[in-house]
Amino acid sequence: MKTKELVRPMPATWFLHNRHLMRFMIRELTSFFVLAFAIFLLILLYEANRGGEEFRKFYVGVVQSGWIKAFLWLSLAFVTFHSITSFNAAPTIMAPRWGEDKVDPRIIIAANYGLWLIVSLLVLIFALSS
Amino acid sequence: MAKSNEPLVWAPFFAGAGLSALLMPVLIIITLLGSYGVPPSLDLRGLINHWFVRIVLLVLISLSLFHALHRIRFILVDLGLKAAHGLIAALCYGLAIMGTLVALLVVTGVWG
Repeated sequence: MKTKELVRPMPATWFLHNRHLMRFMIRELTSFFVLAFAIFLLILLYEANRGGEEFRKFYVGVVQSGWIKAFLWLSLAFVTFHSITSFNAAPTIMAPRWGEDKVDPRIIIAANYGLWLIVSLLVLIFALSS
Repeated sequence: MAKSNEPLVWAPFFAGAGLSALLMPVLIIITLLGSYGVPPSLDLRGLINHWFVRIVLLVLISLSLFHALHRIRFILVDLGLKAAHGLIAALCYGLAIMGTLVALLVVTGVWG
């Protein structure tokens, strides 16, 4: 006798059914902004290669335009959310041990946030002083 | 034990997650400052042309592409494109490899 395999139907809107799944999907969607900003950095590098005058035109016409400002504010919100969820997940992804004991997850999370703050400040100081 | 290619894609995904989480927010803030022209002395082109910044940007762009496209691969599968998972994986990792090559050409000044 032939048996029929039971395939549980999974609608494309599965993540709208509860708050945790919705949060999970928003976290996944931050990857589109990571991708978009990486491409934007690539375009900036390309324009910088084209010479001072070409870059100035691009800077005034594109970088200082309203839609790029809107894109950057939106990217900042989503990418910061990506950073926060990544740092909070760090103890789950890596569970280092100190001797026999697991390192307290709060120490790992605090170290990540501390490193984030130090690196951000160093980059900002470098950018504003060069 | 069955052999798996997963570590090959998981390693750049994981490295990209960490590096983009660490560097992207501050880089967006610097670009935002540039877009508002604050402070007037901020020289975005001079900054981009610094050799060390270029190396960091190359690594960041490449790993961010692998990270984002690895996630997008699974978003598309989760949204119902399970039947095309092989094609989606090939497209996503193909784009990440192509993007890395373009970044290498642009960062070294060969293109642009």
